[in-house]
Amino acid sequence: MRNEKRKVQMQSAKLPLKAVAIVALVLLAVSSAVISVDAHMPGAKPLPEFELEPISIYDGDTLIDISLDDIGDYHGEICVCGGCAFRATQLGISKILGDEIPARDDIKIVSRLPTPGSRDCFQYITGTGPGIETKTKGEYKVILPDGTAVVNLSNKDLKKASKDNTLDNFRFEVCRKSTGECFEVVLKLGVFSEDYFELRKKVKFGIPENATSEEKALFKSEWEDTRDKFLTSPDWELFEDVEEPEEEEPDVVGGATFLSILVIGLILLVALVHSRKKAS
Amino acid sequence: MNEGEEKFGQIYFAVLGAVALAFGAAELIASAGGGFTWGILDSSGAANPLFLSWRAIILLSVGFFYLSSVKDFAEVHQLAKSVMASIMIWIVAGMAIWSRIAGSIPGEETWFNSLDGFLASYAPPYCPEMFLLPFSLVIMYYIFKEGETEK
Repeated sequence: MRNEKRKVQMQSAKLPLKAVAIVALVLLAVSSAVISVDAHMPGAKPLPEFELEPISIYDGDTLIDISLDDIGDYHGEICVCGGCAFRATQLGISKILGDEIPARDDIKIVSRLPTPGSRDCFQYITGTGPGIETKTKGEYKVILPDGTAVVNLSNKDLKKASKDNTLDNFRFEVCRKSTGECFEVVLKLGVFSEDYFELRKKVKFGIPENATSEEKALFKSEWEDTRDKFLTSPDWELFEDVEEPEEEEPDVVGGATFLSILVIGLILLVALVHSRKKAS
Repeated sequence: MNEGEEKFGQIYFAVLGAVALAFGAAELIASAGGGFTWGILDSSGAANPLFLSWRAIILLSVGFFYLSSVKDFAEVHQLAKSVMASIMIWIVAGMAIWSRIAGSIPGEETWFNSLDGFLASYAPPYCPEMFLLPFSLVIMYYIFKEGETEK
């Protein structure tokens, strides 16, 4: 009798444990699926080779270098929005500070882009995100082009706010708090393909209808191309108000002058040696 | 070699030695600080930073050899020092010129360079040894003169 009672007790103890394990597994699977829809591009081709300087900032008295790989690790991957946000911050800092290294708590970034990729990048740089070891913190805000401030920066709320994203959202104000200087980084028309945002809406949100498999494949390839542009293209190809550095004209006259002197000198030298030999 | 030629040689190679010494010191400082380009003078060591300090040592030696040859210039051992210093310049400058010739022929993405690209390869800036090269050729006169005297 006593043994039977114990058996029943043990079974009832095992049951919730099993249930908890199953629920946890289901939740894990669901959450990973949600993340992949939110920001990641499953099956995206590998990153191209790229060379991007890290962003150097002072965290208190410590100089830290933030590379795009750091941002990728923090976010989970290097995506279109993360790449764009990184390049925009780099450009904004160089425009307002030149070669000077900013202090983290002197940086303020106002973004019009409500996406997890750009949020993680800006939060990592300003030190305002969760799980970032930092002594100082900058400022990061998301204000939509219509002036609405996005207060809740959770993946769910950002996803909701990003439904109608257009090129207009790719504007980032990088400011130096101590002086009030700001530079608005504006993405150039043509960085995204014409149908990018329409396809994004269809693929990610099923608006106005679910995307076909061809549309999904097309979006994936456009997403990859755009991501690669942010990794490999120069600033003047990506952003407004950045002048392409003038290519130096080759100094043909200088080169021709030197070559002439060299040839004449050699001829004279050979002639001199030859005449000396003849004379002797 | 008459007295006038000896006097000229003494002054000329003393000045050339001083210039070489100054260039050597500049290259030595440049090699410690990552190099520099000043107008048409190139001490950047862009092609090979290790080569910059080697060039500096050569130039300093050239300067010392020229300066030490000035006293009793007509004496053959003293003249030999100037000849040696000149040869050192010729070797380094010859290498620099040769690297330009070799680099001027192939194009960036094609087998052969364009005419503009070919000519532009010879454009300034130049390393200090290339500036010293034409001035070091004066030693040829003294070599021939010494040969004549021996005959």
